[in-house]
Amino acid sequence: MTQKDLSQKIIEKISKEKITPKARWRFLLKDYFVWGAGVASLIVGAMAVAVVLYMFKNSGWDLYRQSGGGLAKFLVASLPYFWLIFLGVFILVFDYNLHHTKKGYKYSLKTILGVSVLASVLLGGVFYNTGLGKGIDKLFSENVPFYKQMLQHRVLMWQNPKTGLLAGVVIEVKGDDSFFLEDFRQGNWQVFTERAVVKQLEKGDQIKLFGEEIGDKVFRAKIIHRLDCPGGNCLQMPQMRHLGPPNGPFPGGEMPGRMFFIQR
Amino acid sequence: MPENRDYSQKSDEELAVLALGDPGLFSHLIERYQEKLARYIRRISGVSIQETEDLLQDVFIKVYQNLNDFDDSLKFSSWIYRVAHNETISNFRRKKARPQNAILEDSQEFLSRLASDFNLEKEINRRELKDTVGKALEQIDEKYREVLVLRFFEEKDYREISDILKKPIGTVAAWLNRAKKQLKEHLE
Repeated sequence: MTQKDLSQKIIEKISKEKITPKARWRFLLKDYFVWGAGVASLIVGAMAVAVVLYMFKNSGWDLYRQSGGGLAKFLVASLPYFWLIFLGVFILVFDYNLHHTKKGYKYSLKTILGVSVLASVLLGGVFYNTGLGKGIDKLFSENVPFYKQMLQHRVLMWQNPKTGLLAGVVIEVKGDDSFFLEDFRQGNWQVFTERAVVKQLEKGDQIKLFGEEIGDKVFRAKIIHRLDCPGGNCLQMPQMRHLGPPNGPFPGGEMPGRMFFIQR
Repeated sequence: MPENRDYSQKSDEELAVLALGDPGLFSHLIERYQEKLARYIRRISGVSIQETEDLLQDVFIKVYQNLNDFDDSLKFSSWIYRVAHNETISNFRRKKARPQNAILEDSQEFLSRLASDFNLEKEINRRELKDTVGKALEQIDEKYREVLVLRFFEEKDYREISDILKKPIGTVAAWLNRAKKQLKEHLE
């Protein structure tokens, strides 16, 4: 077939079958869709980063050394796996969309992955600073049943008085240097600490403590932090219930050397 | 000012824009690329002349339908080669077949360039060259064969090959190196 023949045949086919170029807006719409889906996945990924940062910051980094359990054990127990997987999935979706933009093929997978991670972390940092991480964590813990179960495990990490970790709710402030605490496993404790610290506590405060068990259900606290529980009330988490007022004698004890109370 | 009616002076990119308003002008683009693309399709797929013509017709119709998608940051030739590449691959997928052996007709220049790149001229005489390289090309991976064809047959630079195959330039360079290595192994 000569050049003219083929050319003529194609032009005739175009004319006969009324073939027309597809409208420009259809291609633009496709481009915008790919970019839009990419940006949406970046935002969702960044939200996951914000929650990861929030949970990481509140997992008790300043206390893990005191627990004697080691960094690896602490990390295994406290990593927010759900959000890390969530983040991974949305980074991959963002990657896919970037790669399918008009010029996406020009960049290697490594470059695109690097840009995705960096963009998610930077935007996630901004979201974290606006308090979005805490907000999302709260929203999920109030509305997603399996999420509550997951968080329960994180709170129970603090339920280990033998290694100096204790958590619960202040049920009564008694005297100048002690208060009563109900832990999350149906136990009631008398906790001794500094006067200045006790003055800041109120009934209903949810706290985590580092110190030592000095007797049967008696604890001496060196460090006390507020405990951020999903939905605000740790006792409403599955398998955790309020047992009522404490009973029995509360032996006193010598105060520890240095104490902190950090308000969040 | 009188309108310039000499379309042979127009660039491909200008003709692509003009063809949107006047389908008849698309024939100039067909005439410019018909032979090049026919050779390219046969070189990467080894299909018959009849099948090449059918594929070529599909390629040009697709190009015409997608003229509004042409990205002017690319060379028009890279874009039309990309459409031809995609259409050839799709054709094999539709038939659930694999590309057959590359056809090395009209390939003396290609073989000379390849032989010079591999310092083969001293080892093999020209008469044997075509058979030897042809057989070696049949043995290597399809994607490597295609970059060799684009580089040595079609004389495309790395940027153009990157745009045609939609792969990063680094990948094109790596594929070319591996293609040469594989080809050399088969030649030895």
